[in-house]
Amino acid sequence: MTKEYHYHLELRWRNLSKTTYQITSPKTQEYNCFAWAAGENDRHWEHDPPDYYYWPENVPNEATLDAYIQAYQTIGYQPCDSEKLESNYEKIAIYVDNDKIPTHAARQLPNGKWTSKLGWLEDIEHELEGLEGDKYGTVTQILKRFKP
Amino acid sequence: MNITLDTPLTGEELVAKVKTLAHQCGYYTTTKNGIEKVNIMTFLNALIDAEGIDLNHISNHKKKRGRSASYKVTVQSNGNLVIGSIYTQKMGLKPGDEFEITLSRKHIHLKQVENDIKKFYSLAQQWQNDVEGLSLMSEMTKHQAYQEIINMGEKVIPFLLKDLEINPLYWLTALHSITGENPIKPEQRGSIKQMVQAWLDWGKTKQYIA
Repeated sequence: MTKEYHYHLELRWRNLSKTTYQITSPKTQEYNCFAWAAGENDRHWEHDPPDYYYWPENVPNEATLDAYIQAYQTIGYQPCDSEKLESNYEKIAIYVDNDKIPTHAARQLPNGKWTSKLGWLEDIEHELEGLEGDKYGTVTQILKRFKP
Repeated sequence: MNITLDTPLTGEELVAKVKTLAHQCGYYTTTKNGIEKVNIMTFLNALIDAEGIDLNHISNHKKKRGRSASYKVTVQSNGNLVIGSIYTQKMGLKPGDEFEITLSRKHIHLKQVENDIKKFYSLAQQWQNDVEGLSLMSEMTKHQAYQEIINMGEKVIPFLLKDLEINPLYWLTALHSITGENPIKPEQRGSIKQMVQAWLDWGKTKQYIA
């Protein structure tokens, strides 16, 4: 991966410049990181307002890690302990802030790197630590599901 | 040296004479080392006061182009406080420009009221800069600038609807908060394109936009 500088991203996520990353799509407002982590790019996943964005049925409309874990459980994900690449498994990493409010989700790629939608900015391929700190806090939960 | 009316003192000789007179009139201080220091400015101010001379009056009288800004204003007998055109011209103000008045114990603050569209775009830009990159609209819309936009009320609806064409995600919450309405059908939830279209259709029905 060649080193490219995207200052508008590195100013907001200061750890990015210390890791390898690349932009993989243009900016769009059509989906957010939580949808992208679920593999979707045509709608916005969010718990609130309840009659606005997509939110799985019967999952609490709460800004809690638990609620977001349950949201991904509706599509087959379960909590696990390791972010390491495992063959036949897809993984999601959830970031939370100091108040334990979910701030971001990333999806693992077959090469072991991660893909994220940065708000209404671009998608990037990155290392998990690259987005820690600043706006997103820390990776607190990894989920995985079997992918035949 | 003989002094006559034809040869008034000037320069250093004049200064020396005045200092002597000031000293004789008691306008001096003695330092710790016993050196006497003449307070020439105090002496001159005392002389001006003693003569009843108003330098501000002289200055205003001599200027033929009108009074200069003193940056002081006095409450008039009818209770009014008038800010002269010299100040409004300096700020580039035009007839019709409005100011909000805020009172505190010893201050009267005047803050210019921006026109609505300018205020909206200023707040929108500030909000966008601060929340860009965040993932949850429910968190982003708590930002003070966003709340100020909501507080602008119905008059900002046309701006919101127009901006949806460029920024489809931004204003859905604001429109809902201001209008109390929700034109989005359940099957449209989450689809930004469809939610925007629902609001634009609503805006046309209500004649906020063409």
